[in-house]
Amino acid sequence: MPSDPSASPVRADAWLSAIFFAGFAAMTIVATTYPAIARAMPMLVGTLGMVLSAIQFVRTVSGRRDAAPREKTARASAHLLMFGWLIAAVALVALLGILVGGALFVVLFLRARLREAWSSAIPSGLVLSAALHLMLERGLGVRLFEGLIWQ
Amino acid sequence: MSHASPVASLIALFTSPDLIGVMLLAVPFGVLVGAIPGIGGKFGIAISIPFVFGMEPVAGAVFLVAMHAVVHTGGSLPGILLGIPGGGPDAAIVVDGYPMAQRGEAGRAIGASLTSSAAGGVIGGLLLALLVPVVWPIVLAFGPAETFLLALLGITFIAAVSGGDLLKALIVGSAGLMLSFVGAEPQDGVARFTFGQLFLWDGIDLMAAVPAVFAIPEMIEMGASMAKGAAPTATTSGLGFWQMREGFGDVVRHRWLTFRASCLGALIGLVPGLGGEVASWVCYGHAAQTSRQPERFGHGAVEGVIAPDAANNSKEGGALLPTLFFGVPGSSGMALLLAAFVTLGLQPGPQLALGNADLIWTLIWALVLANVIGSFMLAACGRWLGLIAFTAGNRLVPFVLVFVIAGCLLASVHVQSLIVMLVLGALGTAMKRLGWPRPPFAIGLVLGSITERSFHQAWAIWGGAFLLKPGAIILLVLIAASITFYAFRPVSLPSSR
Repeated sequence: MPSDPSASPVRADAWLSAIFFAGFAAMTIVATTYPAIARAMPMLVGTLGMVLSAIQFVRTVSGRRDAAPREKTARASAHLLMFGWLIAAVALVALLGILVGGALFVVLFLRARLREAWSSAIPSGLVLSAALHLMLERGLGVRLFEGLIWQ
Repeated sequence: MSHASPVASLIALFTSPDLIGVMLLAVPFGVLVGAIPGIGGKFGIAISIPFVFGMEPVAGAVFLVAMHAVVHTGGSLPGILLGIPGGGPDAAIVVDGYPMAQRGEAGRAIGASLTSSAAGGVIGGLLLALLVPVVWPIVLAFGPAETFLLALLGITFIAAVSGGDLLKALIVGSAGLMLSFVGAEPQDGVARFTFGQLFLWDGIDLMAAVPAVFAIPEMIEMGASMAKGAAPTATTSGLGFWQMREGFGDVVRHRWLTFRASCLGALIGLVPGLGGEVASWVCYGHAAQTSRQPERFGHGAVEGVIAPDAANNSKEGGALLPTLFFGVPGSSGMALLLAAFVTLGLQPGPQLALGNADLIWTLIWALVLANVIGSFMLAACGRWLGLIAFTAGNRLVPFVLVFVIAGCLLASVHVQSLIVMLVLGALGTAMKRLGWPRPPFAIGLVLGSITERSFHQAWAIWGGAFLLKPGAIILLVLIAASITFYAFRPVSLPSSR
């Protein structure tokens, strides 16, 4: 699904440039405290990154204005909601482990977000757990994370 | 120098139940990710990383190459059946494939597509095999100085995957490079950017970073859109083996076009930055130019399916050469493949080519074989596999998210690495939404540590004089040529976001 760069909200683009600039600046400043060999490359790349992101920031701010803010706000809300679901997945897996937390997340997402019936959502979660167990634990001998609650 | 025999590697591949089993898993997976519109090869590699993590390096590498080899074989299905290309490089197939399906020739179009895909993949793989003896002497001449400059050359290819915005690509590439410096410094072991956190001492794990930047944004987008899959239509009828046989015959009838398109595709794949879109459209144009009835193109000419499909699959053979032998990814897909190889403990480049020649040959044969398996598999189950194109992508979202999280936790015993994944996932989502190119991030992250390490080694051995070595001078000229080309090219090359 390619994005349409021509539709980029100017303000958000500028924010992203600023975030990159802040990241490069912070890491470059921290790098100054390292010995010469360890700081050479980070300072070189960090300085370059700062200059480039500053140029991008100026280029964006001096560019055109956003054409359809309301539609984009709605899309941004949907993305934020989905990111909330991602955080929920991470929290469930961290607490309950991959097999239990992962299955629970699949069931909740299918049921609450996609409005699927329980009779479809629950087997889907169980199939995911079974597949992960068989492929990774049984097949490849990998030990899956069991969750902070059980540790 | 390792004297691996290509024949021995081929026999070893065929007689290894493990490797054949891995390919039989990888091929349907590659077809699946290619066939669902909006998903694609890069995404496939990103979510394969957790799966291959526990495998033997050879098996894991075979999985990745086989999966990536057949993405476009599956990508033709939605193009022909729905008029929606599976990915950018599959767009050329829609022009004639969809009109064929609309007039009741879906089976013929898919038969032609599968056969030309297989032929293209095989020819691309064989051309790669033929080029190995040519490349070998160059690889033998490589030391730390050349490795450093080669890594620098690879970094200049960030421009090739810039998607038309060089400044943004350079910023994202620099961010990848910067994050590659996190962890213990290779020369004197100083902990950099760890902020007292033990889990950062080993650096930013590619298994967390690559899926976070490439797979999570796709899932966020897909989950946010709430789009349902398309309903199966009449075009799915006529997808049996016998209907496809006519398409097989078309490829035999246009065998020279298939051969020319395959060779052209492989050569385009060799050139960093040209990418799949260029290969398929150039070959589509070539088919139209050399046709006696060019007016049929755009209205369901079978040659318009054959040429781009052959090119799409053959270009992967060409693109593998710089990736495997020099560790220089020439496309966004290859950048991710490079990152995935590193998670397996394989560092593509001269060292891998010299020390693991058997692996190189195994991967070349895996590429060839995967194309054949993929096409046969689709031909045998075409009627049912055609329905893949109608899958609602957002139903995959929770499964993929759990898989990405599982991969992150497989790579690191520290739960805190999930925070890194979330931060990079948010960054990747923002980049995707705002049209910033993401592949440069993978190039920077993978090549950063190699660049730094080989620079220090070269400096310790030769001092500044390492730049005067003959190999180094050639590479410096190539770097200058690469920068000049991308800085002054008149038009943007196709996007690889």
